[in-house]
Amino acid sequence: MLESVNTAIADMHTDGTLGALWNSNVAELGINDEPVAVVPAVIEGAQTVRVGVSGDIPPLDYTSVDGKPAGYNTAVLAEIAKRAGFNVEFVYMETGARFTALSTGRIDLFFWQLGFERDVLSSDTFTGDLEALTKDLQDVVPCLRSEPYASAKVGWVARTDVVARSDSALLELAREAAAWVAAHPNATPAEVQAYCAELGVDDVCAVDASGAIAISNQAANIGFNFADDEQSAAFLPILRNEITELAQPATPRGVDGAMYRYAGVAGGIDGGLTQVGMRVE
Amino acid sequence: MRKLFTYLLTVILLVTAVPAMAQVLPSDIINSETRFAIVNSGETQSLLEAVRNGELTREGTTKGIGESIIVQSLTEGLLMLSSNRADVILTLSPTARYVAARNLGLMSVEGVYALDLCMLISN
Repeated sequence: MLESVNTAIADMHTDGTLGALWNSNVAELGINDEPVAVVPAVIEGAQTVRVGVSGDIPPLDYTSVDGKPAGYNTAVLAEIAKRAGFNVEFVYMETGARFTALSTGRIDLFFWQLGFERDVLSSDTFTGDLEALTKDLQDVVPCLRSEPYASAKVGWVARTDVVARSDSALLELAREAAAWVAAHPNATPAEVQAYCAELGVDDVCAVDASGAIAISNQAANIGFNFADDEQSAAFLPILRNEITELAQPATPRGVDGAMYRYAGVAGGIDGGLTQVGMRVE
Repeated sequence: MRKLFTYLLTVILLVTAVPAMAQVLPSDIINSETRFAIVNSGETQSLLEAVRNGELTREGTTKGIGESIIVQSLTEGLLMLSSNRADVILTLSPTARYVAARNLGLMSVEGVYALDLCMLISN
């Protein structure tokens, strides 16, 4: 079966079928479009191949709420089955069960397995030993791997609050805050607090050239010198023009020990720095 | 009406998310505080190890990551995110885009490294 599947994949690459199926079922799938199930044609008298699907990489391997596959997986398998001359029976399973299902004969084929691209393996931009990370599946489980039918970049799904705390996002907010402080040199704690809410951060403060907080949303913090605590002292190189900005990991802050994530940039008050902070729960 | 509401929420999410996504690099959200939910897959786990070793960040810089939780399905991973027991799921970019577009409070970020998709066939 491996040979006939690989031949079908190679032909589908060559004639553009795989690209077209990717476009219609993945790249151009609308946000609110439900993937449509493609029912493989029945070939009288042909072998039936049980195909494991997990629904774990939608919309590439998608299963609907009733556990039935739909979209890209069904479209690709239907076309391969037609070309290779076998019938398809889909079997829904957890991803982690695929090796056991293959080795015990519960399924004959599992729809997806990730592998490193050969181009990536030889990429000059990659510094790690990817060869060492690539598994030789035949040594691990009694199964074969087909030729690739698609390629996709690695991605991350992150909560928006995590992204909001990223270095670049916090530094951008610090730059905005520095411009605001420069335009409001006599801002009161209440005015800074209102600006904090507008900016979406918990803390804004501006330090003068001596390292003392001159503007803050918390009145009690005004006058605190950054040199008096290890956490805040980490920002002093900005005042000495050794660095222009710093994003700090979550650290207990010097004033009261509360866990905060801070970013600071030069500017705001002449010769000083401006800092924004987000409380970390 | 429910479909229209969902559509409007999704549009709002995308409109507000796009400018931030353009600025954020993967290495920004990979640090010692990041908790990963990893779907139980040998290759994905290998990828995590590469990230842990600082090998797969966009700039090639070395950054440690926080604890990781092995989950048995993408659904379980999303539950981890929504209940604040994990911050990030590592997956393929089309999947990241797909699930982020359908869940408020989630964003997707595309990395630079590509993976092949193959089929496993019984021997």
